[in-house]
Amino acid sequence: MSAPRPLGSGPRPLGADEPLRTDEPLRLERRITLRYRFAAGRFATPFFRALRGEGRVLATLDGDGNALLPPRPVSGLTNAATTGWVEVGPTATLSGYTVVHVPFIDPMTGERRPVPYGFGLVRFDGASTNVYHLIDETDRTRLRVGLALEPVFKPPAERQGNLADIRFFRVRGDAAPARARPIPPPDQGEPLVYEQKIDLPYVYTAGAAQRAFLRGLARGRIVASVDAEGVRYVPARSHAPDGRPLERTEEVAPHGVLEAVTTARHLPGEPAFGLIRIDGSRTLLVHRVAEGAERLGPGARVEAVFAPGEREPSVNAIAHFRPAP
Amino acid sequence: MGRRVAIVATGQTDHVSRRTDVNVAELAREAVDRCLGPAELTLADVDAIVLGNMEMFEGINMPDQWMASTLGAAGKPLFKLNTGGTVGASTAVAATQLIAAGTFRRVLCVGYEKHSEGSVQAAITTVGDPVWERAVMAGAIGNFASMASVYVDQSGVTEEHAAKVAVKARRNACRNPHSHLKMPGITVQDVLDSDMLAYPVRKLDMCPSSDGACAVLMADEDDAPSLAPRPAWVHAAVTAHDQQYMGDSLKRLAEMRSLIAASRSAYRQAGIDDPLRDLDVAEIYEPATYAELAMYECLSLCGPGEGGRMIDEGVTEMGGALPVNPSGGVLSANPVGATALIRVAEAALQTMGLAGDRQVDGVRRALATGYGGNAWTEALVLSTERP
Amino acid sequence: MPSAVIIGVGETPHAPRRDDVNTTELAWEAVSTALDDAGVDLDDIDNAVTASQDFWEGRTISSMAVNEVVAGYLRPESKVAADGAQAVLYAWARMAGGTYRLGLVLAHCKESAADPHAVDVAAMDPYLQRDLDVDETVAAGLQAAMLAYPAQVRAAAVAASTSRSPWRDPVDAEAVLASEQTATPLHALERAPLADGACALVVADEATAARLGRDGVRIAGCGTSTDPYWTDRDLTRAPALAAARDAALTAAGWDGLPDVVEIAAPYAHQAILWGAGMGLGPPEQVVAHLGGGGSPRGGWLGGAPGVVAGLSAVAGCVLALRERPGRAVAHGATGILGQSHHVVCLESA
Repeated sequence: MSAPRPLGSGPRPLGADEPLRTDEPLRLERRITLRYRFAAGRFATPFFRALRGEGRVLATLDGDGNALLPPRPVSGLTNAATTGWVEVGPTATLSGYTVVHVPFIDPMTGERRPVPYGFGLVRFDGASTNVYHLIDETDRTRLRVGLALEPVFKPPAERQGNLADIRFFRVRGDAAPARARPIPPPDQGEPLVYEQKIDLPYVYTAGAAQRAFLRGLARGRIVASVDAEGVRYVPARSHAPDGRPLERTEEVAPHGVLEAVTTARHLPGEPAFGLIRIDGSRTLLVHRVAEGAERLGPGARVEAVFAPGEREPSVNAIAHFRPAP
Repeated sequence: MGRRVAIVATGQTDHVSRRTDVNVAELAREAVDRCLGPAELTLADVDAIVLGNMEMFEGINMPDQWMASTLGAAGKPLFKLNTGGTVGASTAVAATQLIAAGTFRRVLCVGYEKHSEGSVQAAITTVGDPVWERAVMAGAIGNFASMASVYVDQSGVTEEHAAKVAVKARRNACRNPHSHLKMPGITVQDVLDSDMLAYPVRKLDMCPSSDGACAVLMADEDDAPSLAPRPAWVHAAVTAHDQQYMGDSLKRLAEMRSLIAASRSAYRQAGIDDPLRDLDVAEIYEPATYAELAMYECLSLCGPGEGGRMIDEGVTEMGGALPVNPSGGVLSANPVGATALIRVAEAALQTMGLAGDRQVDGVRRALATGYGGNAWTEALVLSTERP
Repeated sequence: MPSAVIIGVGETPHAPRRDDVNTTELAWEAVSTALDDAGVDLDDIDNAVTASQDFWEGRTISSMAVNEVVAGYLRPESKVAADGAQAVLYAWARMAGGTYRLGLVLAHCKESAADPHAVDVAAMDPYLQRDLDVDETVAAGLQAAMLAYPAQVRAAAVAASTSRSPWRDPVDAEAVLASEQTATPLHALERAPLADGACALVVADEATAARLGRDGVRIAGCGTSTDPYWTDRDLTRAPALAAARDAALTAAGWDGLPDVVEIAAPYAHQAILWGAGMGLGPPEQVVAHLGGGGSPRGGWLGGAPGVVAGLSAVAGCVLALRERPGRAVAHGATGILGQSHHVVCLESA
């Protein structure tokens, strides 16, 4: 733990010997990982049971005889509830096609699909709509709208109850296309729920005031923005809460008042957090407070404890706030 | 029928592949300042703000709330929309309706996107329905190219026709200081030589992903004349959506149902019988060259299958009967949350006579369209004349 | 000012988990109920405004999931990424401006489908807060600490709200205080439970409502406003709420609040703060209001999911006014600790 910084009597402008280089870009690389459980619902559940278990393809009918796939409760074409179920395909017709040369990372497997690959809009025979799917053909001169196709399924053990249970469509010899066959409403059974993890990488670009603040933190300094009346805002930022642009920054002493504290018992490790008003700041900073600080009352004085050693330009350059003498 | 509404000011950032100097809030505010500043207005003159952006692209949940202060929205009504590529135009439609109702007198529309901050591919994955559409995806290009092949098959347009659209766009963009891509010497051969991404779409057939923002100030009829010497009056602001899944429309590009419906409705509202004759300029949302050709047909600028003829005959070039995308279009700049609003702004600039080097002479009526979501459309008609 | 009339209400029975339906089906449950209530068909609808949040839905352009159930095919559906009460304002303007005649307003969310901690953290400042892993519960704990309402009072607010709820079993004050602590001083039961649900309204212009012979409830005025981000403002006050309320009352031409006021707040301490900010008086008076007929169904603490809560408040007021004609005010909030507020004034037509 580094020694506390001397508490000055007021803000200190950045010295000439300590250039902060706020002009160089600062970009924070981060990830957001979101986990979901998506309920398939009353139409997808029987559809994927039939696809996975029996290689059968189902659709819903509307009042005009459109067979809608994916099946759904309401047809936009009639603005009314769908009226029944049909079985379609599994043969299909090519509605639109392409051969893709751009690498794409398969969101379900995280793997890059080898290029080139055929892709297109496929209409199961008897359906009025298409689905996008893979086509087993990479010579685009051999593809045309209207081509007769058939699905190639994954082996039953590999199927997961989604459209990738069909590995791809391939061209089939010209045989008559299938028609939609009415079926009774399928049994629901246990509702299907799909778990998905969405992993999204981001690079957050810092603006000038943020660069000053974050680089200041890395150097063990607190930087405020200052408005025309001399009012300070910590953390430094481009605009005041009321929207006025803030042109100037200055360094301020790393201590202030604890406005509120909470212990997050619902989080692992039960960390304590506080809202800190750095002296003179109109705005607040949220950060961890040291063990024991949660017993401090509002209005207690606190000071920043910077992390030891080399610090990243991030909020974790401050280890926590602790009671100040 | 409600209050009349006009666009009185616009502002845009200079769209680029990467803005390393500002965060998303500052990017949006830059457009706001560029809109209000020259008009000698401040945020105090704005009653409400409508913000358009696709939050999963930049990774901030409720970005409108996070950036409220920097945007100038603290203390004001703030609306956040996220209707995909159409969102920029959705903000303009929302603002029009809010003013028409007398709810507000001056509404600022803001659209922004900072594609350099996220993975476009990963975010595009989240567009698909999680249960139906995510298991088999090929990115935006694979999806689009599949649609384009239907149009090619039906219309007989060639890759040369498409290349001519690319050349028109990138050359027009040279006269637009805000444009991301400017290619003054680009030729049809350059386009045909560019890498094939997914048949029939080549690299130079596609729009870029840009960092950029746009702001448009709309005002009530009583305020507009004092705010702009020549306001761009809104004669129609139409939205049309579609069915729910990406494959629902059998000819999603070739016969874009929402574009056909929305444009017909907009023309009817604006008293336009023959759009080729009655419109003086159009800023349309063309995600790729083939889309522009198909859109000529869906917009009734020509008959079915005649998109190729239109570009061959130079009808939509600067100097042609109906210049399309003097700004360079989406093909030249594409910050998704702003892109459709940029179409509205460019159409407004043309109407207001403020389009500088890209100004079409004698504009009385302009069309702006937005495209995105699941082949959704917005169509706006602007005019120098009060409705 | 021209107004719009709510002639139909539909709401799903909000529940912790609806694994039997997807988002489209959940929305249709609410919409079809509202259509039946209004006596109109889906095909009669000429426009829709929906409310959903992409991070909760796990979907970019989350309104895509509901387009067909709101008559979106070739028709205008727009949306707000905010609480459903703000969608009412937008829908009201669309009708009042004369653009449309018969519309749907829909709010939907399946909170059980998402990881709430991750969704909350994603709303935190990515430069200076995200790395701390603070979520909305932490922020709420800090706010509650600043407000320092006694625990008994907060617990009484929960008991009062749940006593009015059609979806939750009543929770008594002792149970609230006995529940696990979350971010001190808060207990788990001080927060509304996560829920899956949808709510829909059918809104008509005056002429259409008259033609259909429905009395309906008039949207007399709406307001919405925004405060600065949570660390940039005084968390013990809610100026945006007062601004939204004043804008709504002014638009309605009302002098003051009616007896029926439904606040939608996820935390007990916020129900008290926002009740006070609305004008219901000091904490004890707010608690009394929450437990009495002035609060139709307990607001967000009554069990609606967050994005739906404000629209649910509107729906509850409509139902209350059908029983006892008069006036009501409904409220909703968006953002961390209620950064934006939306207020809707309703009166029997």
